[in-house]
Amino acid sequence: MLSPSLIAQLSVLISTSIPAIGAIWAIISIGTTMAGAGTEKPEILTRAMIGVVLAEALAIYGLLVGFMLVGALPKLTTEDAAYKALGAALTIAISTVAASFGIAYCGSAMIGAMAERPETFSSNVISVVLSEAVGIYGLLIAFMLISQI
Amino acid sequence: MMLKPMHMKKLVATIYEDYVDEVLYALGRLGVAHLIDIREDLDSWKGLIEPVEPGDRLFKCMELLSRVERLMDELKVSEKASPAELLGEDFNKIIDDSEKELDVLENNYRKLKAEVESLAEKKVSDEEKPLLESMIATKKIEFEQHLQLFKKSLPVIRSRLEALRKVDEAKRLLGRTHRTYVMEAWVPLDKVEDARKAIADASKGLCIVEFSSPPTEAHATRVPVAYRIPTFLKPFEKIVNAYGIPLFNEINPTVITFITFPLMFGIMFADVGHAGVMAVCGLLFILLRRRMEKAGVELTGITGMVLSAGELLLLCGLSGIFWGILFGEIFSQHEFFGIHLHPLELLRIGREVRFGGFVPYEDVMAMFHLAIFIGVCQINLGLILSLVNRVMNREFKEAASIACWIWFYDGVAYVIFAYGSTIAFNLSFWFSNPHLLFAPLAALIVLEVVSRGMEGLSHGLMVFVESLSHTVSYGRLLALNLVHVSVGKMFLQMQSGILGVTLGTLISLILEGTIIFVHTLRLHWVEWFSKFYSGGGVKYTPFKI
Repeated sequence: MLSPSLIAQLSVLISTSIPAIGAIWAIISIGTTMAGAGTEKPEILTRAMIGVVLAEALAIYGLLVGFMLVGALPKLTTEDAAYKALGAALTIAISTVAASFGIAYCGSAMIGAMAERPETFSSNVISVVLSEAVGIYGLLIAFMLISQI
Repeated sequence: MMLKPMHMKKLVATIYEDYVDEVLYALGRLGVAHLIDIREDLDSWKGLIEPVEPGDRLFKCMELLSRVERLMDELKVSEKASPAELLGEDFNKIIDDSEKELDVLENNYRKLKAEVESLAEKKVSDEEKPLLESMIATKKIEFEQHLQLFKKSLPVIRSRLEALRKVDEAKRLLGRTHRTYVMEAWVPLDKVEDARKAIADASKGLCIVEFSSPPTEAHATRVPVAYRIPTFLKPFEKIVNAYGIPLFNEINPTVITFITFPLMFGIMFADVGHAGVMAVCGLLFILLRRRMEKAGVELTGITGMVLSAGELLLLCGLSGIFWGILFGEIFSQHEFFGIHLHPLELLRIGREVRFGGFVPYEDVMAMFHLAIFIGVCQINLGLILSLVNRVMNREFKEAASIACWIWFYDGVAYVIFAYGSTIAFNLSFWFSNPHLLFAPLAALIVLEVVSRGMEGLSHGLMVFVESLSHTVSYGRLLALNLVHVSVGKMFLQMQSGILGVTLGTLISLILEGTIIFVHTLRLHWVEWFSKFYSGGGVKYTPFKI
């Protein structure tokens, strides 16, 4: 049986690092596509930035949950509270990784398409931002869990 | 009006072939006609006209232009001449004249250059050296004099050739019969007479000019749109146009974005201190840009982009200050150098929606209610605009279904805000208050099924799921507000005092500013525009010489 304080520390670890891995995966995927497409059409890069910024936001969501958990550490003495913290951490971690899958694939495909036809941006960006919305749903639930601790 | 584009008329002109260059040149100097490529709609002419193939003159013109550019590069001449006056000249002679002039200039330049170089390389005895040096000096003076001549004549040649190239390129958009050219273009209503007069004068009356109003159906020919937008709205116009150019028969959301964009940005960036710094930056950028424009400095690249966003930064900053006062935040604290801020309650709607009067970091649910309420408001605005668009285009069946949808959406929102979210799953409540939920839903389903059959049912379901997810998506107003506050607090915990505040402010302005900007953009593009704005229009770009 793990002690509540260990579970709490693990929650902080999970909530901060796993979203970061997800975010960086999406950024690698989009950033390399941007570098390639930018040599063809540099003028699309400002609009293509939206993918990178949305991916980066995923890491910030993880950071936010981690920060709130660190703030709540003194209260995480009972097993019940610690499990809620773990739940919040897993919620944000899994949902941001899911979002990063969507952003990585749709984002790089969107930029590739823009290099050929920039006018496709407004319809393709929808798949990118909807992938990102998945992360927000996780974040909202994580908030609610933390506010119950 | 800024919501609707300028009224356009379609111009169809048939011009005798001898005068087509003159007509195109005159129109180009007038700069009011948005030419239409005749190939787009060749079928409607039923084989009466055929597209124009680019002539040899265009290729010759391009070749000469590249020679001029090369010579100008070599001589480092960068002056620009005013647009050429070609009226009354023989257009076919311009090429020959320019080529002759260019040949002479090139020969002169090469000869002088070779002479100067050969003199410089000559090996002479010491006695002859002063003589040689004076010879080189005279040659150099001669060279300089020629350079002055080049500086005067090269830009003129270039501008004449440019004008000719534009005329020939525009000619490729025209159609032709055996002895005439047919031109189609869009002209703003108040410029119609100017265009008619210019064409008639240039062709000496050998033309037929007709104007017709655009058809008003939704899927009519694509009419280019132009708006009279004041300068302070330009950044918002860019935001809207990056998504797409408005269609001529739909409302341009630029003016509304001017209010909603800073409002949303401010909720997420709610901090008197950080937003204050941002507003001051915006003001400085505006002043700097004014000064640079007065000095005639061209704004390009990343500096130009940042400076042109001055109005946007100022407005977003002001809105951030406003929400910062409501939430009592200054530099991620509640007090800063003796300034104490208490959350200020501005407005309370219903039981749970409070505008201000709480600290979002401590009262997450209150902030969540506010965020969702703002989302409901904006989605309502989008649906109403869509209704207005449909009514203006006389699509009454769709308008009725959207009206029912607004009724149902607001009914659900009202029930959830007034009675709590669990009541929505209580079926007996649905039947006891039919006017809120049951009636609009039934009307919606009936309307959808009547107008589209079974497809309407699945479409209705899709709209339902979409609206739900879009409304929840406004929860990001809460999420990013907390992100903003906690990043600031993090720096204060690491380093208290002025250093922490400075670091926190910097990170807030650069990192948070970008992320919040993109999220505000996305709330507008996806959650709001998808309700009423197609962005499939064409920008009015008049043919100009």
